[in-house]
Amino acid sequence: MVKSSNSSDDTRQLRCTAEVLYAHEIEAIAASDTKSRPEGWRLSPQAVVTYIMGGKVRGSEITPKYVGNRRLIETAVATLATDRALLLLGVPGTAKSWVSEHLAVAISGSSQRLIQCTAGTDENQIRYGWNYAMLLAKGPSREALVPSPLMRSMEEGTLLRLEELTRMGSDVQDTLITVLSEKALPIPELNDSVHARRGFNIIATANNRDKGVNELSSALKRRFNVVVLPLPNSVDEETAIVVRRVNEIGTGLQLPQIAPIDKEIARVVTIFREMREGQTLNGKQKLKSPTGTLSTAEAISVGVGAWAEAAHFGSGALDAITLSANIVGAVIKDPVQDKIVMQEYLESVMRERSGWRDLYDAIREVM
Amino acid sequence: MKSGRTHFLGIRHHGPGSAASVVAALDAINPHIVLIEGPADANSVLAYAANSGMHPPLAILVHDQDDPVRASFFPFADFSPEWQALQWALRRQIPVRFIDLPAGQRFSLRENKFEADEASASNSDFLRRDPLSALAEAAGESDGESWWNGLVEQSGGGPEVFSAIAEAMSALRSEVEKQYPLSHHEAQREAHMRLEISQALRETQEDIAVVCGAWHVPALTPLVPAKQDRELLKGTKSAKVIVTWVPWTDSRLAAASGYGAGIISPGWYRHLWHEFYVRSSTRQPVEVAACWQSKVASLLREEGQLTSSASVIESARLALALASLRNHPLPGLAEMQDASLSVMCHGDSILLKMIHERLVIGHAIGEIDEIVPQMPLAEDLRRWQKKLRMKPSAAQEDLSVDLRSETGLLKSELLHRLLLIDVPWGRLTEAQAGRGTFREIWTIVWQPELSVKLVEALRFGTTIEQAAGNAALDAFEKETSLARGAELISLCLNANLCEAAELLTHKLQVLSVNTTDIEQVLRAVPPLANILRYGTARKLPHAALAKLVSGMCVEISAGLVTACRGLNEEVAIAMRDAMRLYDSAVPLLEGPHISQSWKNALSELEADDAASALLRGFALRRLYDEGSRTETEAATRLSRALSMSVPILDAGQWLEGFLNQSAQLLVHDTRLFSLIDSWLMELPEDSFIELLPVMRRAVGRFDTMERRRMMEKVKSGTFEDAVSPAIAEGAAMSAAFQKALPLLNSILGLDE
Repeated sequence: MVKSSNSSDDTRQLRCTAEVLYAHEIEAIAASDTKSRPEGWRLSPQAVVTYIMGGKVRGSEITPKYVGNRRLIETAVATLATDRALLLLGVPGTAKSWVSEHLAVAISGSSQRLIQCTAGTDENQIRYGWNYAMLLAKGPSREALVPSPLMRSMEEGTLLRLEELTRMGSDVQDTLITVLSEKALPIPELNDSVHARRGFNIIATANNRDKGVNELSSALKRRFNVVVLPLPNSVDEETAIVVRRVNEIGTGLQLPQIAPIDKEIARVVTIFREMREGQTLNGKQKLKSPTGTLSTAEAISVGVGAWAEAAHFGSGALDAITLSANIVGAVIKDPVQDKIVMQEYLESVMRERSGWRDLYDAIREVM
Repeated sequence: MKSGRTHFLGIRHHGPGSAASVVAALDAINPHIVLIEGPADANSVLAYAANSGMHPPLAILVHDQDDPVRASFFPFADFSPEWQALQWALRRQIPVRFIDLPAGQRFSLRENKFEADEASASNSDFLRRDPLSALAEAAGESDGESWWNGLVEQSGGGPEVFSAIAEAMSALRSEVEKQYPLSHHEAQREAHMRLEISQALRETQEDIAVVCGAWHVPALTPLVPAKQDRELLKGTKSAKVIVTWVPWTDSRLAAASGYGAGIISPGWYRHLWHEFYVRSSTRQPVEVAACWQSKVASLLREEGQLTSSASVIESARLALALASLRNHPLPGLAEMQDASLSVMCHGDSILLKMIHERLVIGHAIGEIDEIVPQMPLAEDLRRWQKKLRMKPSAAQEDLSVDLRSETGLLKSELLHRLLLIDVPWGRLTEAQAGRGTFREIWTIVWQPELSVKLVEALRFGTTIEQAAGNAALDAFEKETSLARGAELISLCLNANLCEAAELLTHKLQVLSVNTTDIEQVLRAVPPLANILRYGTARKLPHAALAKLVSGMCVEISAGLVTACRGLNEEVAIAMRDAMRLYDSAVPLLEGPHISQSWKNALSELEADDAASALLRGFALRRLYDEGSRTETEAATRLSRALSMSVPILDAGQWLEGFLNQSAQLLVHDTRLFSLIDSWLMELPEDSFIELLPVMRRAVGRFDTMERRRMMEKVKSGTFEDAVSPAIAEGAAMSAAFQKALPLLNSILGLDE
């Protein structure tokens, strides 16, 4: 297990990990889980799906972690149960990392075996590094080897999470091929290799609409089962997600409590959806789309930002004034183009929408 | 479920699971009579189903004797429980009967109160059609089949499953009927079935089996006094009907049709039936999954996707894991699709959509044994199909026909005849239509409703040849336009219907004499001219046709000028198009008098100031191209037509007619180009500016490419100038000339 330096004092931790936050739920599910578990799994596949999608287990309420198509989560869990690696694809804010974290928690009990892939990630960070002092003193040996999260996962038989897989260079990505097909990591320097224990598997996430990504090689792609997580279907569904996440984050940040936020969040989600899809919700009017993606994740951060502002400086409730600056900040990423988009939206959509006058005025003032 | 001596087998229409259970149950019960939910008036043709040449999907077609449009289809696939029950009984030579209300009764019902019933029943429609899917949905299953599978698994696979179904249906029906009371029609159907069941019970002392939609089971079990049922059916009368078997297709099965239960995935059900149920003792779920996934892979490969065997294995494993995760004994279509999507398509649903039709729906088309009596036209068509080796197929195919070979000619004739009786089995592809070559390319696809159209065509005759001829004459009677008449003649000749063609020629003659619409005559000539010129491969009423055409030409020459007067722009354009068609047909016609009289008519038109400007421009252009007008003459006419006194709009139209949408010619024909060029050069500045919009409008109809070419030509400045040598060669290089180019760009509309 990964050691946390301040594990004795969890309450001061900025963000609690899923395994800590939902420990009671996992316990409740595990207690009533009678189905067979694949070796190395803490829960049965059915119980994992229940943990992610929510439900009731012997009287205790399990909160839904993912709101959306159950079939997708079932495919993801079944993939992991068949020893195939899982690749979660989707635009930003479709809960890829969130789902991956909770899958790891439910299956392996820990979400902490994690590699954040970046353009600077090299092979040593994927496979293993060397403790050079030891290497010089004793020569190549297992003691001189610094294991990567991947290697540790293989030895423990737990899930490894690879975040933003496609941000990493293609040659480095291909290091995974041996691991995925042979379930072993050779260490040629020691004429040795690490063999994965049962329970080991990989969950990768990648953004399929991002610029500057390194396309997966077909050899690697073949070794993954792909599940595409879509954007929420309707305004109501998306609003529910945003409201819940904002509440969770806000509570975690110990923001002062404020009045219910549902109605205002619904407006933010409406604006984001309309701009993202390039048309009004009723489909009657075409709109310009801004350069940013305006994903659900961004709506959440607008909600949290507005909450902080309202609680500390404003009236204590989300209102047009606290929202406006946050909305403008989220939409206008390119000072020239996006400004036109925002202005057009203001004048052609918001001005005529009944009950939106306050937001219209507030945003105009900010711009 | 057993009630007295009657075993009720409540099924899901077209459900392979039900079919397998029905066969197993029949084996166990060994009934002496089998009754099936199906129209009672179809009983006469049931025995044919035993013939070896009957390959589902098939349908029983019931149509009104007097009015074939009133028809109903009752489709069966090989995995339909009704079909399997029928086969079971026929194999053992046990009496088998359909017991539902006769279809003929529905036809007469439809006229009075059936429609009202249908409207009120539509809410509970889904429930009635496929109550098991409704239950499955409530239980969170993806479709009725996986639900049925689970049920069979629970009840141990024996006939006990039908007791469970009957129980579930009783509960469901009592709930539903509280909300939507049973419609009158529905009540009548069930009364009829009850009466038939008691009739069968009287006939034998042994057990009988009733195979019907699960929905009906609760209503058929209780003992209702026969008198009450008869009361309900009183006063219904049945139309006289004709019943036969017709081939059916997968795509039709997939759509909700005729007899209620439409299913969504024949391809998948067929796979289940053949790979699992037929050999259920030897087949494991893993084989069913692997077999399906390799089907998916081969279709993906056909689409050019590299799909390895390794991914087939992985897809099958994932499908099985998903099935066990969802507590299904066998992967359903949903599991299979999820697995293919995730493994073979890398999450890209477009790939799956591409193969959806072939994979999930399928392209199967049924076959009928030769012994089955067909309607005369269908019989005739089958004879031809056999002779010409043309098998009807549900998939769209291209057929290339060589008219020089005898079979090719016959094939083309058959397809043309079918077109005439409105049975569009084949369509001549547009690019080839009407071209005088020996090759025809047809797109052929057989649709089951063509069987109905064949029945409808019976009113024209009992062989395809006879019916086609009569249909053409009938169409002509309804048609007053000459152009369509001429087309019909051409169609008749292509279909080798000489008698009809001859008759039509006479009729057209009469019609053309009485017509006053020159545009129609103009349009009627080209197809006839084509026949006269190229149609010699077929026997022709040559003399009559030639006489007709020459008569029409005379009429055109006489009436052209008057017909071109006082037209608005739209009509003028239609007229211009008709003239262009006719103009290209004139050289095909024999006899110098025709082309001479056309030329005369054109000169008259060109000089007639009252005629539409567009057409005058066109006329001059044709004459100029022919060489009947010299360049100088043409130049004079040009500047006259475009002089300042002429209203701008007229001038524009004239120019448009003159340019005749042919920028190509303008670019390549230097004489023509310089003609217009010199006219422009000689214009005083004021008039030039006045005329700019006219020019802009006339060239505006050219496409960008053509306009760009013209620009290139002007820029190069190297065209010969025959009429006005005023422009020196060096002019192209002069500063003024270069300065003017941007303006020219904007006139030509190239600067945007």
